[in-house]
Amino acid sequence: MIPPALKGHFNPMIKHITIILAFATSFGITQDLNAKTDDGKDVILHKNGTWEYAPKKIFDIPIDGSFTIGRNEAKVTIVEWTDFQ
Amino acid sequence: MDKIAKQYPNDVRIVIKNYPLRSHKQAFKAALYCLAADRQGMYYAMYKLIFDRYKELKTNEDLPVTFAKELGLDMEQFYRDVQDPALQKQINLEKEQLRSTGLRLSVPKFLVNGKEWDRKQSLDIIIENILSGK
Repeated sequence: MIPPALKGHFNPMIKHITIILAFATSFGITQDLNAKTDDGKDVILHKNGTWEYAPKKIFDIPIDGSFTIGRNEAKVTIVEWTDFQ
Repeated sequence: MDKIAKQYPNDVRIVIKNYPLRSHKQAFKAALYCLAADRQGMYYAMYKLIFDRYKELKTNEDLPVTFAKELGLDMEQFYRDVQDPALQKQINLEKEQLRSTGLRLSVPKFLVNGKEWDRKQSLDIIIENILSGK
């Protein structure tokens, strides 16, 4: 079952999730499952046949000598990894 | 990022880490040049010059040496710093930090207060939401 909010965004990735859900429910899976989409997003497959994107993880990346701009006390910290592309 | 830094000078801190991809041969050296410039307080000036003229690095990976001269860096110290193994170690540490997240290893990659920015919303909106406590 695809949540109504996602119907307009049907794509091959969602098709894969639907197949996994069908597989899981067919074999009587009784717990929620964690899975990853083709594009690397975490999803939770519920035992009732629905799914949702997993809440975003929060990473605590130390500064560890990296270059910074702005105040240490700033409310927002943006960490950017770059290779000058 | 430049725009964000200017727009939110008090509320946003930007941390720049290197993840030079193996497929971009000039990227590792460019990162070294930036870190060497940082030892003379010129990281961001070097970063912007390299970023703006990255395509030229494909035919001249040592172009940042010219930038260093333009920026008025102490060249003797600059050459010495570029050779310092500590800078390579710093780059490897920064690469490992991204790997440790388990996120897809593509760059540029952004975390905003620890959460991956998936670009579905503009950075401005995300920042405004955080600042307004939403």
